[in-house]
Amino acid sequence: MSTLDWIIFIVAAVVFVITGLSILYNMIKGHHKTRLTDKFVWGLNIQIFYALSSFGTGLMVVMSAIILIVGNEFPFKILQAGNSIALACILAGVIQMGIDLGKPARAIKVLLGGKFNSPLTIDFIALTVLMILSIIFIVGMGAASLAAMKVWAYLTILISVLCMSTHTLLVASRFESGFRSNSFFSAETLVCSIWSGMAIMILLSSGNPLTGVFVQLLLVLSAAGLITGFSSVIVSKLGKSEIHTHKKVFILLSAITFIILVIGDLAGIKQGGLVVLACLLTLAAVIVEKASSVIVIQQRPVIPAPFSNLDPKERYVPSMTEIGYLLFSIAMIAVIPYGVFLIGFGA
Amino acid sequence: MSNIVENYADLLMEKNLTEDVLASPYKWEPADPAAIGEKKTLYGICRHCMQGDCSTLVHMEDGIVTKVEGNDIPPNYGSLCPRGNAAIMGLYNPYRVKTPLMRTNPEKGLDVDPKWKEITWDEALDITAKELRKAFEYDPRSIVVNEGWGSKDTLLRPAFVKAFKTPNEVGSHGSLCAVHYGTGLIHGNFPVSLPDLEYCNYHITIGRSLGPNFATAHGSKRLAKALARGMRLVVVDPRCSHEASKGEWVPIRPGSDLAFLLGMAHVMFYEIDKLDWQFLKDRTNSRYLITPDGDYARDKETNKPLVWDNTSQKAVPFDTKNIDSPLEGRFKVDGVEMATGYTLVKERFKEYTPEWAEELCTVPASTIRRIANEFVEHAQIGSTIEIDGVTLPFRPVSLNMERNVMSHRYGVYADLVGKLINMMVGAIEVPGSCLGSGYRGESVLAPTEDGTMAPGSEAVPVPWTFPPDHIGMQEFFPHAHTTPHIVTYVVENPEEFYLDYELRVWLGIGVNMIRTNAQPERYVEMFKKIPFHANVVYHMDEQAVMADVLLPEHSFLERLRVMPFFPSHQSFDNEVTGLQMIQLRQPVPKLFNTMHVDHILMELAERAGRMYGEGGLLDCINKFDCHIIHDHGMHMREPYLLDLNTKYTYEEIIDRWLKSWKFNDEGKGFKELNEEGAFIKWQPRTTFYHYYHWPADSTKHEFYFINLKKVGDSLKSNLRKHNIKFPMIDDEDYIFDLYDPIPHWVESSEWNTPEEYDLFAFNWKPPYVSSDVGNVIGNPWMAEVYTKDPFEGAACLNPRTAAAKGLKDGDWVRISSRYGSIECPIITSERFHPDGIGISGTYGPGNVGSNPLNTRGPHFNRLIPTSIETIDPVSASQEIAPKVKVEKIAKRSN
Amino acid sequence: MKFGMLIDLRKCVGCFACTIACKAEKGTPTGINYNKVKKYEVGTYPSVKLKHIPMPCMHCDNPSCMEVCPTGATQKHETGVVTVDANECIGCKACMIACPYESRQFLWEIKPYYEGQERTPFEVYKQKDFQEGTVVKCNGCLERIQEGLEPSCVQTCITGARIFGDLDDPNSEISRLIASSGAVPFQPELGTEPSVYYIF
Repeated sequence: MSTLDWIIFIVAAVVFVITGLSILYNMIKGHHKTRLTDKFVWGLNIQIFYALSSFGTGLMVVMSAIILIVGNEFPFKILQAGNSIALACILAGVIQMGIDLGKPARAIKVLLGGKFNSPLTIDFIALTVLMILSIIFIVGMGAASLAAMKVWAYLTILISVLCMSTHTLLVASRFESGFRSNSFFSAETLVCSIWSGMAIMILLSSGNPLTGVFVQLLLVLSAAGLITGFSSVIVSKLGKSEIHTHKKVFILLSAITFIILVIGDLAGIKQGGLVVLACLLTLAAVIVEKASSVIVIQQRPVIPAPFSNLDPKERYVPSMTEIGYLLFSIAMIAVIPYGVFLIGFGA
Repeated sequence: MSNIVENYADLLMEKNLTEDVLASPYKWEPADPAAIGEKKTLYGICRHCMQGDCSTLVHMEDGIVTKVEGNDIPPNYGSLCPRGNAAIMGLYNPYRVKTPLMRTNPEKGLDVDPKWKEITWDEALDITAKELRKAFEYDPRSIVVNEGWGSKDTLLRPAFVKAFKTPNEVGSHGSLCAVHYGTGLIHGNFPVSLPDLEYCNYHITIGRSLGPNFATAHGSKRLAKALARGMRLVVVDPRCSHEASKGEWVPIRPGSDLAFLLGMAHVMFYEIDKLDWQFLKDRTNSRYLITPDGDYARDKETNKPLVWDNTSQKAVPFDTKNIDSPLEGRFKVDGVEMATGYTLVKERFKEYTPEWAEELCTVPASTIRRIANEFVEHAQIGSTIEIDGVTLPFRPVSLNMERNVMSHRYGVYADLVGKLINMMVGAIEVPGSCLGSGYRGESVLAPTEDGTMAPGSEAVPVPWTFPPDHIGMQEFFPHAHTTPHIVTYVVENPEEFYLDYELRVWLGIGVNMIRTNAQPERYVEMFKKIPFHANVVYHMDEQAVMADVLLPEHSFLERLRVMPFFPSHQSFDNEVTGLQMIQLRQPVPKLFNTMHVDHILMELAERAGRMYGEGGLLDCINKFDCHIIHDHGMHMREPYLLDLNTKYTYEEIIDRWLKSWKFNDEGKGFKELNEEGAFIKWQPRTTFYHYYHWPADSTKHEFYFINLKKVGDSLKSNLRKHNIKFPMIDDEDYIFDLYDPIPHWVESSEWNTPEEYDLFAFNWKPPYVSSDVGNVIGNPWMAEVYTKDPFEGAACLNPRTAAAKGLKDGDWVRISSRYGSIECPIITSERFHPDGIGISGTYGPGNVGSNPLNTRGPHFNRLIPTSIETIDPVSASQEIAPKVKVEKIAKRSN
Repeated sequence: MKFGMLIDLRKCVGCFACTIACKAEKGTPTGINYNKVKKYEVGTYPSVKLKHIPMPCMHCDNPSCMEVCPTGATQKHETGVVTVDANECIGCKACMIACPYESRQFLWEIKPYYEGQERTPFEVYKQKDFQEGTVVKCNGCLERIQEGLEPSCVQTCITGARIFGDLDDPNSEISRLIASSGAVPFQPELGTEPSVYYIF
């Protein structure tokens, strides 16, 4: 690891410890330090979960695809880096969901409750299994056979997509018949996850012969992102719903990414600044889309007009506590991958 | 100037500042350990509104009050309003005054810390009694007993005031709600006139609450039943209120109701043929001949009022049999031309066309006509109904109004026009119609020698004395309800009012004029001048911090109460018609070092030497006659009269009163009441309608309001006799214009203002709080709900009016009348008349040491005037719809 | 016995007695009110009205909340009342996202009623079973109906707008009134099959 790596690691570790302690403190003290309300019950914590689990599950799907297509020939180091980042994202997301619970210490009741059609139970199980798969990869895949890796890949793809689907399931009840639905929510979730996973993989694998292929796949995925975003705006207009600002930002970012990648493809660019820019824009677009969607579905009054016309107009603004949780998650994304490599699973 | 701090300096030196009892946060004591495991239910009476008569059950577990709910007996039959349900928080209120206190800071002000010190009950009572005794010996009139809605649970206060021989019982609650003259004059009763919702088919209600606007429990139930039965409800209001939303809303410019009423009466006089001619001829003084001086023409021998007889073509006494006496006409009697009362009244109304009215009140002329016609149509003139075998006239319509109509300079006139309207269809004291609340009995409509019924209650003038006895100047306002606002001027400038004594002692009981009356700074200044001010208080409110000594009383749950049922303020139907009832509140154990208000009064009377002997408190209790329900209420009689030299407990006095109760044939007392929870005695419903006692032409109501003229004439002659002018008024016509026997259009004080005052501010009480009896505004359960209502704590404007002023929802404004100003955000809504700006509620200035909830919100009453030029000179009611200007200011948080 | 409530909106006057009676009965902490009353206006000046719709928990037969609850803390009692077990709830708030009637609230903190003061003896006594971090809601006054009483909100209503009864009994007052008035639940198209009916 270079000096820069060490600096990043140490800073991240310090932030991780401090914010980690504050998380413990807040879990013990109680939930009232957040600025969540009865109208916005899922706030920054869940927004982070949605964004990071998109990255994580997307990365895992991309990794599995690489394993199935290219097999052992792809550098293990890159796969391990991707896997560690995915693990960090997923673990951060799970912790975010955990601290969002009113009674985090009772989280185990989700497994004991036996309510398997509850989206939360599905999510809990799927994320746990995915983390186990990720840890298996960390400790065991260095010396595994191709067959074993392929089995891992099959399982990982299934569980990752199941995790993606829970994004929709968790808020499905907010989508009823008629004007409140958004038919493209699931499509967006799928596209955004894989698209962001691909972007991260490109950043990790820069210099590798396959990177060019990844970049072309990124182009396809950014087109998909753009189209699903555009379609959901049409659906909103048909359903006489408001078109939210974040949707416009998402479409703008996807469009710019697509255009950059088209230019790069025409010019034969397979790495360098333009590619990095396209990846960063991708991540930004996905963060905007996933994080805002959590707030937007709660903004709409549950009880329709005119009954809700005199309700106070509320806005959600995260508190310092919740921003602390965000820093914790970001720190984790640096600490775990560096940690994995330091411990020696990198090779 | 208060002398208390110097006079009692030695006593106060040895006391500690009250850090514990006023500490914030207050440390609650644990409940009585002996009560653990105990479950009990007590009978209760709610006291969280003006009505204060809902029967409740109070549940206790482990010594804690856990629930208050309605009891399934009259009058509320198990239901209970939000305030009644929230009573528990009035008990467990850390902002209560918990022990007697005395100030050590001679400086007084709402934000000035009195630096209270704790004193014992003996000290507090001894000091107060000593001051009372000194004042009594100097001049009994120097004692003021100041009472408010917080004092309605006392049995002994009126007798206490009599025992101290002072005429000065100053009520805080009446000058913004002086609505009693018409009921006293036409119905002989008190306080107000109500519709009979059991049968009424068309009800016009103006400026009052039938139930829902105040969320009064049993009133709302009766209205719901009447509406389900198909009754038409017409609500004339600048705001589409809760009640207006249940019927037809007639939007009206605030403060212009007299014009609407005059217009409606004009339509009935001139455009409708079928009025109740029989009623007008037989049961009113309409046929009486009126001299050019405006008095009755009288027979020279019998002195009886004369009517014209077409048959004999001469004037004859009104009770002459077998005559053909016309309602209208001008006749020559002994060479003098005279008109009938009806003719004069009708002629006066000629100019009040609906088109004229529309200009002033904005109600379209066509609407005024339609409502007048519908009113007469629904009155079913000539019809009868049989109730319990007795046939009575049936007139199922009623027009009723209260404070938002009558709290203007023309208030009494508006009241009287309403009576004319009801009388023109015979809708007075018969089933389905307009009935006076209060006493049910033969005496109410009993005729005088003039054939008309004697005026009752506030239509009976206070006798003249000069120099005046009353600090409230009732000599100059003989029909006034209460005059706290006048008292501020008298204290400020006693010479102007010819006062020949000094005010020495002010004893407040459950009262807060600073918050509930107007121009609060005037009351603050007045209190600074008073030598000794003691207050029987519940919580640390504005009037409390201006006092010298605080005598803390129980919250109502802790207060033993035995009371007779008073007919309601909203309406009647068979749920209460004929009800005679004694209600009981069994007290919960007291939380703090407080005393029952009646025990305080008994102690003060004894310690001041006014308990025993003739004229003492016991004697006054024996002689007590309730001014509302007379012998149907608490009325001592043999053999239960109190011995004037014995010391009685409060329960013993109650026991004797119960046994004296007119409807208590079984001789039941306090013990039986505690077992049964209530004494309920239904009386024949026929006797409830006063027509029953005086049918046909056996009595008459005034249509030509000669008693109003008489009182005005008498007042004028008294001014002449003593060669004095009316206080604070230069042109006495301004006063006497309102004593005319025929009501007519008069401009209120707000009618001609400088141009920048372009909106009428108006107010209502919301259902959450009603009239804020028992500090409901400070109740956290109610606050949770009312703070979420966007119409609370804001000024409400019609959207077009707001747009014209460049205002939108949430903008902060300063609203200024010519008397005061307030600041609050605005909200726009289609439910408001374009010429008005409406502010809800009972918010107030707040004070040091108060519940923080009491310091927020726009204090509407700041905008209202107190001066004599602005009030109704007859009822002394204050102007409730001041003209204001509105300016946008910087936004702030509420 | 199947929990049923009928609310006649023609009678409701928006007094909030039901909200406060519930608060007193349950001793709900500051900010928690199981019963809501929505206020709304219809029309433009001068043809305008103020209207109210009181909303307890609808105690649906097909409750969205129960389906998404991961631990089974939300259950449907045999009387039809939907309850939340405070000992099983993990506070995930998925039920609050799912409920289309805003029936549920999250107990962020048990704060004293009088702000800045300590909890009154009433609160200390009544709030023993509340747990911060759980979701709370109307439980249909289950203890009262098991004793044969009406829910507090029904008993207190000052205009008699609320009726309570047994929806399983076609001859009960409530069943007959629902049929004769054509009362329907609020937002029936959502398919949750509420047990609270309205006469609009």
